[in-house]
Amino acid sequence: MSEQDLGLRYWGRQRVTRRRALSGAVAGTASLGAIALVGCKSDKKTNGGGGGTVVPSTVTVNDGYQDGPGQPGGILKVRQATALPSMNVFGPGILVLAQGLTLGFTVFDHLWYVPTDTGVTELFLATKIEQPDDQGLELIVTIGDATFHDKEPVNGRKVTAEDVVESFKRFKEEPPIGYSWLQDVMEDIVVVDEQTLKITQKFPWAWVFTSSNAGSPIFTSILPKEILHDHDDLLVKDAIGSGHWILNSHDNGANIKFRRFDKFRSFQNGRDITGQPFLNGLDFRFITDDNAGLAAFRAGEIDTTGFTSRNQMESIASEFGERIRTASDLSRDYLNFMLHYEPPFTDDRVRKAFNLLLDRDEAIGLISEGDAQKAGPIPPVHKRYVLPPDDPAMVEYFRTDVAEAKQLLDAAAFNYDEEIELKHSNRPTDSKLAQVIQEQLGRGGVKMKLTQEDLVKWFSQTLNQHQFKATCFQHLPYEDVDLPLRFYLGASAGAGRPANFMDYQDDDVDTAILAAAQELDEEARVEKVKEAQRVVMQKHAPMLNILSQINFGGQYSYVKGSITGRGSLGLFNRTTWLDDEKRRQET
Amino acid sequence: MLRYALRRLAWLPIILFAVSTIVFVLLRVLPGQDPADVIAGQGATDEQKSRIRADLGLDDPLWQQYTDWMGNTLRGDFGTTFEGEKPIRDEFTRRFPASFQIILMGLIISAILGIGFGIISALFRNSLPDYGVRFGAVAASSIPEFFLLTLLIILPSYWWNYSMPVGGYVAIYDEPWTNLRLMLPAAAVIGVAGSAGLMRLTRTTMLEVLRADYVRTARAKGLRRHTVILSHALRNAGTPIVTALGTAFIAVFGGSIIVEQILSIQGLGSWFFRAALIRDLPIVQFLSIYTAFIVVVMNLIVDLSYGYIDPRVRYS
Amino acid sequence: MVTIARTDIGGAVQDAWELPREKPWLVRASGPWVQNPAGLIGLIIVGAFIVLGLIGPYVAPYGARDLNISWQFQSPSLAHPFGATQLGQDIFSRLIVGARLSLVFGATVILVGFVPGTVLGILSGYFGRWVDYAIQRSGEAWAAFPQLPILLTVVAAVGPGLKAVVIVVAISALFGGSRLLRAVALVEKNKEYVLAARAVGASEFDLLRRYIVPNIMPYILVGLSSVFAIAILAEATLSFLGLGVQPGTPGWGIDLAEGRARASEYPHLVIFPGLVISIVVLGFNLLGDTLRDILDPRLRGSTGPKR
Repeated sequence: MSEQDLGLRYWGRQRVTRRRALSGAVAGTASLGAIALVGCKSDKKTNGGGGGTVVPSTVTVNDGYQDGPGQPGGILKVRQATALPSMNVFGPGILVLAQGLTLGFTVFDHLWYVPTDTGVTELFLATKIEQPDDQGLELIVTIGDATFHDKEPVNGRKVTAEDVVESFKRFKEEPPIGYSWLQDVMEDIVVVDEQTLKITQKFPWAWVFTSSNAGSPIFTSILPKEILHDHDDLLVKDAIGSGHWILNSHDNGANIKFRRFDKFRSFQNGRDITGQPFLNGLDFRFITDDNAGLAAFRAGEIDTTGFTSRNQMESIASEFGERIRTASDLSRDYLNFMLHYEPPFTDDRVRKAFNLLLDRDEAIGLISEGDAQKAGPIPPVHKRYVLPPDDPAMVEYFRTDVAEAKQLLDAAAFNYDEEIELKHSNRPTDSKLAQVIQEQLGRGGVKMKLTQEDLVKWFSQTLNQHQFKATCFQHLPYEDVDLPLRFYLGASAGAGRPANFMDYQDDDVDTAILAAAQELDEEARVEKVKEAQRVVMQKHAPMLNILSQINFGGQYSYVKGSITGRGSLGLFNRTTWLDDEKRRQET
Repeated sequence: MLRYALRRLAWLPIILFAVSTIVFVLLRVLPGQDPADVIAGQGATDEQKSRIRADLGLDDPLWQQYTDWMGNTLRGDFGTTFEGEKPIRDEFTRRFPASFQIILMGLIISAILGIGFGIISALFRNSLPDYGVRFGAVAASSIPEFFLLTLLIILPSYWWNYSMPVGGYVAIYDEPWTNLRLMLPAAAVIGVAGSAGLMRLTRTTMLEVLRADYVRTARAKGLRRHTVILSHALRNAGTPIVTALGTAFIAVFGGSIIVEQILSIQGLGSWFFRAALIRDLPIVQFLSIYTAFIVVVMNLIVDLSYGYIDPRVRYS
Repeated sequence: MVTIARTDIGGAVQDAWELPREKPWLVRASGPWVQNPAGLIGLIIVGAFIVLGLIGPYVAPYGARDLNISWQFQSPSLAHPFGATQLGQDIFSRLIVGARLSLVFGATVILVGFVPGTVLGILSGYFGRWVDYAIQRSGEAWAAFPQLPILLTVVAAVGPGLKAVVIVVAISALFGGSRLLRAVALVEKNKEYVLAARAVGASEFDLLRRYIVPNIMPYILVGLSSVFAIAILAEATLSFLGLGVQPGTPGWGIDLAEGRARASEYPHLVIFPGLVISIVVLGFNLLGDTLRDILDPRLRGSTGPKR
């Protein structure tokens, strides 16, 4: 069934790309530590395939059926690195990210989703989209047949358009975490009939289906309308949705257990997916310490794991041989160095000088032991949109030249005596990054003072209230291109948009980024995104990205059917199955 | 005996009251990060934060916050957490078994190691085992617990590719073997750390006692050695040893926080840790009082056992 | 020097106005060192710690913050006796420089807590009555509580960072010091030469200054060693748990915490910081124990290492 039939007029016009995969080697599942911010020490997440330096030449289409037809049964055991403070996907606070991601792709269903590797919108609950106007301001969405989980007070009733509409509206009521499509772009959402709803946008928005927008696992989950208001007590303890997993039990947000939803919808993107998920359930094992997590994997108490380094992965691989499969892939998160837009950083020469002092290759060696790629305004994992590393703009941006930097600083009358405070959180990667930056800038005579802050304080005050002169951190692994670019947009660029972290404002940058966001034609948009990157780099916008790390992971060989190139917890465990008869008996 | 016990018991409410008041005032008065900041999180407007503050009662005058809280607590309503608004009492009930087990096991290990080695050390006085044990005791109290635990996790992995199981909790009556496997490393580490003081004190006390007249009399009477040690010497050594047990308990109690945190055990210790980090004040207040309660009760037990072991104390 | 009477071993009364004096504590104390090699080891360790704390940054073979990618994760070798970190920093140098943080921290706690505590203790023991009662009861109450929960409560009150640790350890040091010195003051108060001096009309202040305080010095050393041991352990523990804010300065606790992530591949990252902490604390404990044994067995257990 082609994308045209599904109604994706503008968005679906690309070729289905061949997804690369390591031969036979499939990814481990994400550990929550990569996603949840608070208390997280392990930054490693793993998905398979999709680029990086370890991909061999075999190319196979990987759709979850590459290991043969899935056999039903069994429980997959996975590590959970942080405990969820509650099950309430409406917050409060930043911890909602953790809930949203854990539950967003497991317990709840969504209208659609755009995977990073393909960039092709996949329809989930939505079966058809009509766009009556050329600008895509209106979307008329038809949903298919699905039911909610059989729990009080919903009791397994059918999912209606009203549930979708009310859910979207409820999410819109919550304070946004930074930018929010629901508040900035969506004008209105109304019920047309039981299976149809209409979304109206304030202006054309090319990214509407992506996971930072209306495809967000966190902010556009579909909940039953009865519990959206005045049921906070229920929301805190339990999560009721229509997704492929039912929340079975949890121990205070730890050791979460999901079980198969037998009545999950049987369609997706025009395909028949009856029978999925194959597994009977997912069991999360709460382990905060990385060493302990690896120990659990070794002991067979969990089926998948991330590794902290290539070294560790190879050592375990040689130890276990055929019993496990390992994989590496380029992460969607990226390390960056941010300067607040105030003197001396209002001077373009100073920003350029700082960029010239950064030695990204050395940073890759020190922080990632060589297993990373340089990152420009868009992290390198977004293959369709990112400028190739040999593009002249990228070459210039990544160039290191201490002498030239010093000249620029002298020309800008930079005050070498002033110590610049670099605030960073106590996450190990952030801390290392800060030390590396301090050292590298020091070569140009720039004095930096490091101040380490507790993660929660750093996030809620230093970053979100823009209280820094300089800071550095590891961005979350955003699934789409929208968010990495959006972080450069200025405050006046659009209605109600908050200022970016750096309080930076540049009309050319805004124009370029918005032009890309409002370009509905796929091919044209790719070009505009590339142009936007060039503008951002030319201006040395004060968010200087440094690198994206390569993640390493492994799982036991009996775990089959995972889809590579995707992260998102639970979403792609639907085709996962266990090639072990005894394990398949478990319920 | 009863009056003795009651007299000591009378201190309990006074101390709890004092501790709770001091902690309450300190937490609410000292400038620290506003809890509403943490809970509201990123991008929250001042308005949303004030709403949260009002909900949590943080804007009320201090005395009102205090009386509200104290009134509720006395009625057994320990309130709800700031984060997620979960009832504290339920949470406490869930987490208590794990902590209780670790502390109990830790204390038993402490006692066995401490008293056992203390006796050995006293008996083999000034010979190699004695020096060995004494050095061991000092070493045990010098090595940081988290270091010991970290070594316990990584060294077997590094040398023998063996990994200690962690994570999750099963009640002992559900799966006894799994439960022990999970709890033992934690208990062992804090047990070792807490045993040091006991070792030294047992040794000293035993030495004093073994030289005492009544021991010589007992031996002269022809009593067997172990009878002498156990029913005469040990009984007289009992009082200081019980004190030391009390101290060991306190050490084990504190250490349980560290091991719970490192091994992801869902007990009271890791709860306290997290609450302190994010300034979830109701939890911190509650657990401070709980700690005080435990301490006072422990002291009471120690005092009562003095009364039992040494009759002279009862009449003082 | 006020002299009242002096007798020599022969029994002949010599200068009737000489006040008998005990042998200086230095002479008294040097003998047992030979009998207690453990104590001597402790003394050496503590001495090395203090020296390194003072001159560390100048003698470390490399800068503590120097990054060098070619040394990344190196195992212990001749060039890097303790190995190197992920960022290529020499661990040996880092630990030497880190001694300073522990030294400063301990010194702060002593200044803010122990010293006022000793004054309190001397006054308390010397003057007695309700002052004594109040201070000692509070001290007992404080000492009954486990340190970590108190630390956590203070962290909840004032925020994470060394501030909280200093406060708590200083208070412990205050009470510890006061208890120790009170016991000593009581003992000294009743000694013969004090009684004798008083009989001659020496003022209270004179007595304090010339007799009591000098004889108290060794006990203060005992207390100091305890405080240092506790302080170093507390700082390391809290930094390890992530509650001790380290603004980029090398410290032992933070080094252990950072090394932990990769420790199963490179154990040297945690072994050496951990060993250093353990050895230094051991040194203080050995020293304190030995001093205590030499001076007065009655003091045993009055300021033990606490957790």
